[in-house]
Amino acid sequence: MAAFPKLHCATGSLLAATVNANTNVGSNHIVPGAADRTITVVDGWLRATGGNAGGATAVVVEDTAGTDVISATVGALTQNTIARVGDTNVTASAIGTAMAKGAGLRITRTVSDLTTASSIEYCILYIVES
Amino acid sequence: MSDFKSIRCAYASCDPDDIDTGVVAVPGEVDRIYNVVDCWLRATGNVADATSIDITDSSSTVSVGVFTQAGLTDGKILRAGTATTGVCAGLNADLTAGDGILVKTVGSDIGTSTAIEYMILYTIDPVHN
Repeated sequence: MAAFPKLHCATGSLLAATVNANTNVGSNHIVPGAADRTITVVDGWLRATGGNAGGATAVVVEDTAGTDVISATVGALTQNTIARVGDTNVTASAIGTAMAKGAGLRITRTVSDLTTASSIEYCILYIVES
Repeated sequence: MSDFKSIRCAYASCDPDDIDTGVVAVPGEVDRIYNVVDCWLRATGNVADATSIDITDSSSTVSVGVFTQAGLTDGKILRAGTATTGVCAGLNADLTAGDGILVKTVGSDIGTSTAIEYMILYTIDPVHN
């Protein structure tokens, strides 16, 4: 890791339909990949708005190669509750792990479509290395 | 303190033996003052024997946080501010000018764990003479 790496932040809100699209190219991408760069997520949170998250098993931040980084079960995503890395029901298996070179980050859901919640807000902190 | 400062990040996964002797997560610079704004620790395998893992400045003058053994269970991210086990009274406090940021065991050496990860977010201020 480079000395004194700068922290980057991806923050915003995705409609539930966008999360459900579960696509590998498109609007559920929150950080684009770059061929010569490696992303390492170091912290983050998710929040459901417009209602409790339902239907799906979890909302997942993953790299565009499909490696899970942060996974929040719908039980953690009650309306307006910030589900942070380190909280119960928030798994952060690949946090601190460099993603595949060139991979970006996206948000998707597992098993079934997300229901009830209208949007998922996110704030993901990461560093970038060449 | 200036406004609109950048946040820097120090992350590593360390051998517990290194934490026992002290890991300099961020080296000191003579013209800099660090200020930790957030942090977490995670152990692989429950931490045993040690009293806590502390984050301080490198002269151990200013304590940023104390992460106790009880909170450092296998795979659990122990965040700054967790009641009792992750008390970080020194968040947002200026560390000693010129000092680095140190992660170090307090009490006996760490047992059982095979790795200790730290993630430290901090800002840098210039020393004003």
